[in-house]
Amino acid sequence: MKDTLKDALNEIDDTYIAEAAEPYRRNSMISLVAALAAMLVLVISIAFMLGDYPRGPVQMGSQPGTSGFYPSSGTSSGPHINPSSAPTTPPTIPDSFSVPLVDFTKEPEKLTGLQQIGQADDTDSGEPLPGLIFYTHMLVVEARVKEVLPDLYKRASWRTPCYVLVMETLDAMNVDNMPEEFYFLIPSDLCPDLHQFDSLILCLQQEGVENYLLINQSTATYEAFDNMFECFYLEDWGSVIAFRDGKLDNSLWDLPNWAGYSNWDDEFDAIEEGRYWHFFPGGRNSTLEECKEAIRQEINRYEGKQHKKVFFQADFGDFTYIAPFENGVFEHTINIVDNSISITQTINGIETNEHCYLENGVIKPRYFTKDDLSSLPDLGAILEIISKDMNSMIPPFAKEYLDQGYVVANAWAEPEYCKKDETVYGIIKLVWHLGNIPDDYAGKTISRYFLITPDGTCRTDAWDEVDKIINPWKYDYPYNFHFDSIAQLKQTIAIAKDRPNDFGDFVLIENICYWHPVWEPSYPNQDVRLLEKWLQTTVVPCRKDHEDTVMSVHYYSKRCYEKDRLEFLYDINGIRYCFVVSDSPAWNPEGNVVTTVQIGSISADLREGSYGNTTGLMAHFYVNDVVISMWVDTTDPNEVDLSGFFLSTIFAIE
Amino acid sequence: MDKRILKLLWDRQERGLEEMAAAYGQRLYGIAYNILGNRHDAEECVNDTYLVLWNTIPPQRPEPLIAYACRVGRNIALNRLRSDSTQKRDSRYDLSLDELAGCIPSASMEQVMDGRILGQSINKFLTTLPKTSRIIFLRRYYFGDSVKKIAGSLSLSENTVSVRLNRIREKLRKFLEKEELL
Repeated sequence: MKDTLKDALNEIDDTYIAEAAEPYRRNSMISLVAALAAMLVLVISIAFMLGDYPRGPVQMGSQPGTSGFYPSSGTSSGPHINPSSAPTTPPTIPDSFSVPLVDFTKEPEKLTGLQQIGQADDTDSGEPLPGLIFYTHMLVVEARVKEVLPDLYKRASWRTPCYVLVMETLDAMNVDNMPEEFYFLIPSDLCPDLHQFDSLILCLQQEGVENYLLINQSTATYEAFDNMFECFYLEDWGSVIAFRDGKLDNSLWDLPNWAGYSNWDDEFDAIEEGRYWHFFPGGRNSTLEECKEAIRQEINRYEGKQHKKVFFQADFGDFTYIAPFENGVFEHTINIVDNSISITQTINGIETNEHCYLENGVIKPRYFTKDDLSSLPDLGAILEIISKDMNSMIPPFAKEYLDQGYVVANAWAEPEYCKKDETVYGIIKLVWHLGNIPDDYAGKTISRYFLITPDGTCRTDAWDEVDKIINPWKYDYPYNFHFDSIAQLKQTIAIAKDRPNDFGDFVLIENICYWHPVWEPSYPNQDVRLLEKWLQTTVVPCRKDHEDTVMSVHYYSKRCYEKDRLEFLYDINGIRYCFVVSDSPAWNPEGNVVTTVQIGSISADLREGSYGNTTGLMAHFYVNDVVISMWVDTTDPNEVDLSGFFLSTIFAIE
Repeated sequence: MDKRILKLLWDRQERGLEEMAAAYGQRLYGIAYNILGNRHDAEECVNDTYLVLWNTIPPQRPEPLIAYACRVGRNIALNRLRSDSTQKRDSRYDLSLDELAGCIPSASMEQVMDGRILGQSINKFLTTLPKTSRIIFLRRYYFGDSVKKIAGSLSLSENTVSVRLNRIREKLRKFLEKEELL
């Protein structure tokens, strides 16, 4: 019976799962005391949650070969999920690649941007303020629908088709420079209802200031919009409130396509009965003015404690006007992450990938110049050639998978323009998703890169160059982006330095992941330096033959274990090998010596040992000032095959 | 946040997994732990979940991401539970399922047979619940959270949550009767 119930619960709608999985947002009528009390409760709740379980997924097991990030199936073919119960997206095999054509020549007059508005930062600490009450950190605007544009639009293929509404701003409640008119992107099933109300109070997020690109479903072309907004928490009750004749009109929530709001009656009951703390700026029969006053009070409570980053283009005077590319179009979407700004422009349907950095508050731009744009390689033409014969370009090792029964479930191309050292390159990444194997729902994802130089030459043997172009942060800022410098290690290991790259420019990225302690985002630099020291002075147990035997590579700081450790896990002929590099043995061999084993010139005793219920064989290789602890999940020493391994420094000695 | 994580995963940047872990790791761990009742297995399940996410995004762009992650994590944990015959069947999740099964006569459950049909009805039932009740139901019977934990996270007393769960189960029973599933 319980299995039936488990299957039944598996049918529960994603919306409800997400709703329950998110931290609960407490709302209620306005009261400073209540707000503070709620925050206190939240803190207690979080503390309680943390105390209720052992600390999250970040405390890895201490058992060799069982900790870390790898499939539990015992093979390197990926995790096993019951296909019938796994989330499904029907795989499609594309007939051809089509890039939406651009038919837009409007010139941008200023730099445009995408900014996450849905977060307010404390002006003192810079820390995000608690998101208990979304009215305080969203753009709260009273507006009315002026027009519904007739066509359906998509931002990307995965997004729900949307309508674009032309909205008139009636009252910008917490925004200084809200435009008098703005575009409002809303899923098509929800849109038609809104025009019938006198006004709406919306909790908005700005999506673009200028030239926000959408694909018109009817014409299959891009169209650009200025001042595009979305209601990011659309499904959250209260993020859209309708008014008619000056009073709150709950008839919106009774409409079937607004089913997410269908419990408004119970919510009002709960508020009136004080059953739980709930912020909603009104109640049954509240007037528009009462609701707005409640929201103002809520906003004022955070006065001086937050600043809003609404339209930030004016803050970046170092940016210069970027002229439009002839026959092309720009869309500037900007994200500020750490100390970098990435800019994406869309030129003839192909995105650019540009990086700017903030150094001591000064912007160090690397974006495209007008000269760059006049000499771009014709990626579209190359893409067209490639897309016609993609099957022949699949890497050799992928063909091995096809022989095993995998099929190309999906494939696509990701073209982009990149700038590196004052040169603009084109990069086309081809991706094949192999799947349709029972018990391997996830399948495999394989990539191949093409580098197109300004003179139009297309190269397939330039992974190192491509890596530097598309991942500049790995090379330019190794210490600021410490995790990425560890990721660089991954590449070093995956493509062993001293052996020929069997696959030309093909890089197998699956099953090679690294892990780090997630609770410590500000990873101290010294940890990275220690890791680098290991790399430069010591050893890495590499396997010479196939990199796809590497299941995982992890670096754990002393916050995970008592000491720093670098861990490698391999799957070779069904036997797992785990190597832990550290400054002392990772575990104590406890059994008898069964034989002596050797990797390169380094030998060690192989002993019986067990961890928990798992028995295996263990050895310690002492090299320089570190120890490589090895664990193999077999008790038969004859099955232990170390012949393919070698201990390499970064210069690959054996 | 989901948008950002998706973007990172689509860009094949492991930082996406970091942010995923920071944002949802605790929740995923909670699900796995509730089902398996074993800290070590739960940790492995969570890591397997990240691997599935890494391998399936792209090509997928699941929305909402948290629901997808929870679904994947739960399936991995359940499959692990099923495949390990030695696993003790007294996890917190099993206890919560016992509770839910208690409101449905076993003979009727056998007749239902197809969990999907029952699942569709439960979905319909959930639309009739107020948001808070729905969250309580999901947290108890989908995530397997304890009453104490639910109460703590919703600022309700344990007694209130228990009473509300009772009422929800009773409502569900009536709903299924109305749907002629019982």
